[in-house]
Amino acid sequence: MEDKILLRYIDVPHIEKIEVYQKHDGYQGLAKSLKQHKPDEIIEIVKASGLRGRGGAGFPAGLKWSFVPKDSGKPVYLCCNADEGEPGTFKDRLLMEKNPHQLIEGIAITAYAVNCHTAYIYIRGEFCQAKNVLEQAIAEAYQNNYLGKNILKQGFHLDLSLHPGAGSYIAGEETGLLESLEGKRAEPRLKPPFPASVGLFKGPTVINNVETLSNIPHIIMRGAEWFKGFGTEKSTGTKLFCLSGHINKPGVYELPMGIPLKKLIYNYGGGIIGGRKLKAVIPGGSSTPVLTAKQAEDVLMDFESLQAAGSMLGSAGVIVMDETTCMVDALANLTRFYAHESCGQCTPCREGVSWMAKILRRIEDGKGLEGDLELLLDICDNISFKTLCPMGDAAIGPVVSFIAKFRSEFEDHIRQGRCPIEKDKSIKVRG
Amino acid sequence: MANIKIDGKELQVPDGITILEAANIAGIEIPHFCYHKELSIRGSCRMCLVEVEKMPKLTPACSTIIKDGMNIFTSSEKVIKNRKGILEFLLINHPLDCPICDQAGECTLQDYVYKYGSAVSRFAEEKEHFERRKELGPHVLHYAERCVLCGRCIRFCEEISGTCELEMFNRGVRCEVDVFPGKKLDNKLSGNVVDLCPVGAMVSKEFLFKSRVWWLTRTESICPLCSRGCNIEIDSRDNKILRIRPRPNPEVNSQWMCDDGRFGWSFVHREDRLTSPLKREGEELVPISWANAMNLVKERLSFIINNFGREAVAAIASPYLPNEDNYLLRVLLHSVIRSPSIAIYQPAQAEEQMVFPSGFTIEADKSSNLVGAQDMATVDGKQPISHRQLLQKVASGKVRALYILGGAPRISLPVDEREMLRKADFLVVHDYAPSELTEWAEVVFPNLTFAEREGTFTNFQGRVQRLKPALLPLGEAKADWEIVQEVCQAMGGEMSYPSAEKVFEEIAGAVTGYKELCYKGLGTLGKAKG
Repeated sequence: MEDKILLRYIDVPHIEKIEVYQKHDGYQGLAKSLKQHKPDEIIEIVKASGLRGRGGAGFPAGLKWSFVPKDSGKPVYLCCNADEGEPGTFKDRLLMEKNPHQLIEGIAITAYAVNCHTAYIYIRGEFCQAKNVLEQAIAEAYQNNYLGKNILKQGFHLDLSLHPGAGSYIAGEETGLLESLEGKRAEPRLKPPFPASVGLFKGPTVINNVETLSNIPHIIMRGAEWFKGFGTEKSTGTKLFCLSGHINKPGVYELPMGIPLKKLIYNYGGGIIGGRKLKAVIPGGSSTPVLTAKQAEDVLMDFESLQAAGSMLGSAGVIVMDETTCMVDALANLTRFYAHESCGQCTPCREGVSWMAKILRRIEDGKGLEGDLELLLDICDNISFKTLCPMGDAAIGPVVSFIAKFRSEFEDHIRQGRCPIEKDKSIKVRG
Repeated sequence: MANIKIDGKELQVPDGITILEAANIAGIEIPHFCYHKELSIRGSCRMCLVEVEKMPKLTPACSTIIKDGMNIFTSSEKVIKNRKGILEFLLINHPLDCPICDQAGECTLQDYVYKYGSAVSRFAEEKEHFERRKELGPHVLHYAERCVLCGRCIRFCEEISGTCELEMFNRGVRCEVDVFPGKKLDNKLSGNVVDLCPVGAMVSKEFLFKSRVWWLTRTESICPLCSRGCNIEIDSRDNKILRIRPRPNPEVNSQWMCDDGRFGWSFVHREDRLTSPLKREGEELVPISWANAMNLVKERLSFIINNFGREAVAAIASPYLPNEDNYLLRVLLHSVIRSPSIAIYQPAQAEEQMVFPSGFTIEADKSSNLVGAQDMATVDGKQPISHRQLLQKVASGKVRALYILGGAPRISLPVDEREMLRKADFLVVHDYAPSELTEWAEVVFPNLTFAEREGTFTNFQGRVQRLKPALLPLGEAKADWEIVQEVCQAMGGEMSYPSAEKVFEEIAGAVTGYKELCYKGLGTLGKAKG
């Protein structure tokens, strides 16, 4: 049994071209869907496959689709979230740049399943290469009648548009994305109502990540049981892990869910740079709580195992930090990112995160005060579950976990009035 | 109906309302910044979070719809901590310049911090700084550092005025409300954003540094500048108006008023206000006493009645003046002098009506009491004639003496009407300042502006609303109804109303449609006539 799904044909030359993609089972899943399945059957197959959203929250994809009301009388929209912005995450970009038709096919099948005739790919504005590739691929798909009117003569219509984002992290939050797609400021919406009932242009809307949608053609072609053969019982399929940080072979690795983190780092990632000691790992993109080296010893990389370890699989952006990392500096940098990217509409995230960033930078600069850590944790408590969107909690995840797990390092900074860590000077961190 | 429990209090509330609305019914305050009942719900300030049994997180009271059996806690430990936390967040980058802030004393942030906040700050960092005072439009200044970014002003311009000048710029703590490039906040409703702002971020250019708000005397009155009759509050100090703001009245003006009314009161404080009766001596008008003026009017009117008959005396009622004045003018004409010639002044051209997306309308008719003046001058179903028809009678010599209630704002006549007016043998005019009418008048009585007097206006909907005096009368000037009453008495009429209220009682007895009304019963929001 092959061990790759999404990246199986990644090295085939010109797989981004439709003729090449077609030769590698391309658009067979769409043809099968339209010819052999009713929309509801597709939803059932995807439900049975156990596919969970790859954007970070891990919500079961089929279940999400089934929330779309059948009789709202309004057009249904499908939005592919390609605003990949979580620090440490770079898998969707690869999928779009290398195998755009796989995504387009996934979108077409999903649109058919949820009775949608207008779909959008909201792509991060900075992804110029991916944008060019996708534009070309969408044009090819229209020419070959995989998009447009009466697709494959099966009476199904679908229009797909590519919409480049305007450059902000918060546009990746699903309702922020919808606002941005409507031409407004990317400010997350108050929920309820949820997008499945009131979403884009007030119509029922499904929003899925690039990786989630790219899985769909394969599930349709080979069946739910086959898909469940990968991964664990509750985290089925493979996952694209983004390895970065102090690692010899950073990159995107497609591996079954539930692979041991240690194996990921040492077998696939080639171990730590210079054979140094592992200090910490952020397992699922910058907002997920950090793991200590000891926790990294035996944790498995799937939704349940990481949750049990007090963290999250998130977007599977694995950031590896070795002993030369100053945890205060790293946290100050991360928090600065969240302060910079806060949309600013709700008070706790806007004010609280920026305040934390200032305190952390001050501690790293040797001007920490007694009580700073208690203050930071209390600010976290005042943000926790009180913001309008999940971004507030994303911002405090690192702060709470860094302080809990590396408290003595923070205390050393404050007590000594300086950063006591001998850093790897070759790595530049913006202050 | 749903049965719910708020802070242990059981109550029945209508389905579909929010927790915040239910708490209002229960008489429980839930502090909030971004929520405003006339605007869409944004749920972003997070001040109104409350605890609901079986809900894992605190939930915004402004947006959460109540469900049957809901058990809500508005003062639990978690709720109190959140409020304290939000207020701390709002203050960390706030300049704390209350001593020089116009809003101090009526600032929601200030009040909430006193009530729910902490007395000490834990913030040891440098505050964010913004341009200190930005001019957004002709009437509105913006202090970005004081802003809590509730977005009410932005939503107002989107949803109520529909003019969309404002937007949030930048992100995070650098967020700032501003006008779009090249735009100005210069719509006719712009002043409302100052009222809407819960803090001192949006301030009025006209009121800037004029007074601490706690020194202001607040008087509930009616705007005299169009036939809508927006309910207003006149804030005055040392017998001067310092600002006018709208009072909520869902039947008339919701919560809003236009900038014409809000900033259009400077005529009250004109340098050339009339302070005593005047009589013509050649080209000039010279002050005389009230007694002499009354004698003069009596003498001249009697002469004309004796020589040309009662019908040679006529009057023009004013759509700008309250019902009481116009009613006594009718009494003077019909009952005392017994002449049928009463007309109503009607401006030559009306401006365009302005309707905003929210339905708020600035009326085309700029007179405050046309409906009322017509009601007062209608006797036995016979409607008054137009002032032009009456002036033609003056020109033809049928009418020799003319009594005109002028008054705020000034009446302007086209050239041909002015020529007709000149033909009058005797012209009496009420006005608050020198005007086109006083130029030809033989006797001028100084009257009071809306800000100095009692009375009632009947707006275009037929709603009768009360004026209340915010200022003391200027010099010897009197309300028009008092002046007309004195003329009546001089002409042999036997009436003696001690107050506008008593005149209104008389109106209620005599004028169709006003029978169900009583002066005190009009309250602060007025009543529709029958």
